[in-house]
Amino acid sequence: MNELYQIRLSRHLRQMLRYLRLVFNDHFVIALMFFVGGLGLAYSNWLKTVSVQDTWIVAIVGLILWLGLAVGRVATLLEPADVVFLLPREHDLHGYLVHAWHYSWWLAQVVQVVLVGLTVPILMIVARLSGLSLLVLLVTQLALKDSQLTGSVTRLYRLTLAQRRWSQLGYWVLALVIMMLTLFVSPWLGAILALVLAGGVRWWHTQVWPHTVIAWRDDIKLEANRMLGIYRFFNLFTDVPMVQGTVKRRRYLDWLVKWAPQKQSQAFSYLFARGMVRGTEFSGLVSRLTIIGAILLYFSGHGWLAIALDVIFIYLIGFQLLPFYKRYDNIVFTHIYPIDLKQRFSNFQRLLTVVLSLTGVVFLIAFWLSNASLAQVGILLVINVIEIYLLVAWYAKLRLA
Amino acid sequence: MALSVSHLVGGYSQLPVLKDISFDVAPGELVGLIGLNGAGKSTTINHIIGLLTPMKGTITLNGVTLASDAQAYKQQLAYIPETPVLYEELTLKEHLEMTMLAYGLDQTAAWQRANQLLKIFRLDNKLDWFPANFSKGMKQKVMIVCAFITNAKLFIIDEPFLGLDPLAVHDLLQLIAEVKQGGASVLMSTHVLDTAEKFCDRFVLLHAGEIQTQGTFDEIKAAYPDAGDSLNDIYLSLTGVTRDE
Repeated sequence: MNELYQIRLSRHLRQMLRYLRLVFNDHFVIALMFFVGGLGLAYSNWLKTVSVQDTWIVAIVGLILWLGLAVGRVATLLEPADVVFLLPREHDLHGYLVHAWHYSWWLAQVVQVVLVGLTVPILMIVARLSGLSLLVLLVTQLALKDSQLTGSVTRLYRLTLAQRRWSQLGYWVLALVIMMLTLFVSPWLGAILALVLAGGVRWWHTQVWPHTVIAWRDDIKLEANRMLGIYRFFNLFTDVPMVQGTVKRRRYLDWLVKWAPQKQSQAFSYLFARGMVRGTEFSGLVSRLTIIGAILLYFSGHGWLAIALDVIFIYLIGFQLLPFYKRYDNIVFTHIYPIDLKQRFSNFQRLLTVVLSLTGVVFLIAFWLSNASLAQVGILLVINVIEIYLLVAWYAKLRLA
Repeated sequence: MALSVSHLVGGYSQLPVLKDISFDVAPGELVGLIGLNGAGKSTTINHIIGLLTPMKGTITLNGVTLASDAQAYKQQLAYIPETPVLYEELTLKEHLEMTMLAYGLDQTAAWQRANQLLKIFRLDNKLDWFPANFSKGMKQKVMIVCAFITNAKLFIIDEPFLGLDPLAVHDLLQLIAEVKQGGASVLMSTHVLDTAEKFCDRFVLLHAGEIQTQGTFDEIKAAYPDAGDSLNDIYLSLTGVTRDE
């Protein structure tokens, strides 16, 4: 069991490292340096404007520290197959979970130290805390995080609903109270209370776990969600195979999918429209690019730059939508329905036209809002129409048909 | 003959899995396609539904082949796959509507039929759900409903009995009997031999890409008098023969 966690952890870390290398490529590091530098500058400029009177800031800092306690979860690295394969060794799993606990503890506490470190300048200026008090505050924060993690580990076991609910609610209320006592009454009092809480929760843990069983289903779901969150983050920068688009019902968009006439020749329009609106993958792509494009267009004047941006963004969207045509190829019915391939393709062209036209209209509005004359808007409209026609009738056919 | 497969040679790659297969399915007939895993049942079905192209031989459906008129061929065909496949983004209701659109069915009549079927399979209160989240049996019921709202001439059902509850199996057999009465043909592959023995009109026994024997149960029994009394026994002894080879 002990080995199992080590093996999984090293595999997990290798994988994370691989993604991190992809995320922190040279360009991104440079951009990040500027970004962090800018933020730091803004922070230090802002610090010059605050004074001792602004006690509300201390309350805000308390809230931030309190909310920051939620950062850092228990990385159990459990997998769905564990229900079957580890079930016979359920009791020994505590050892495994303790390893997970320790790993997560260090990771989470590093984050907490950084968080406290970030608030130190404000607290020194506004609350006039001494170095020693700040150190005591750090101890408080770490102790509070420790009790939060202990609680999380305990909740990996099957508890009664009341235990589950009260342990969570009780913790967060107590943590807030302790945090505010620390900042407004005495750091020493807060630290003592936090340490007592941490000890108490640890005692509770030793009392609870030997008499109950592991909540397999919930734990595995929890871990899957945690990993999904990480993958989602990586997916912002690079392609992560584990993140597949999900499907959302989006009832409020039902009016959008009704544009396709209901007849045999438009059967695939029926499917494409719904797939487009409800699948997060392609709809997210279109809406992201449309919004970014519209904002850029708004700020880029009325000349060649604007036209170029408009053309590029519509091309980008159209080009990235092409794979959507193949989305249903692995579903047997797509091939069995008595519908001609040409028909399916023309339905797809129709979808492409509608989506790109909507984008085009949004771009025209953004362009118009930036005080372009109607003549300029008209020119852009003509350009859009020509481009969409070329994309749909010529380029899509070249690539797909 | 409704479906006529003659001298079919085919498979997924250059290497043929099916070696010269010929059989017919008459209108109003339920034919059972029987064979071990890997015998070529699914390959045969994939050829009939048009996912694979024959290397040699022809498949005609009421005089039409896929090559001569794909749309007319597919219009006559409904398929229930072994593993349910669904469009993730469509609700149950929309799956039915999609099927109606794709087959060009009259919506009012088709909905009447659909409501009836949904009630039988106890899906009538789940119209707005995504079937992609259903259990396997329920997904399979969705497949069945989608197939049986079409007025296909040939139903191809791949292993229908696993995953369905006994009630649904009973209802499915009833549905098959109904469409048979209406003159449709059904080709069904299965491993559940005692059910097949009771309900199929004829059998095609596939082994290693070849047809080992075909005919009604009595014909097969007559051809292999020592093999046993049930389809199960006959089948086991037939595959046993080839195991020794």
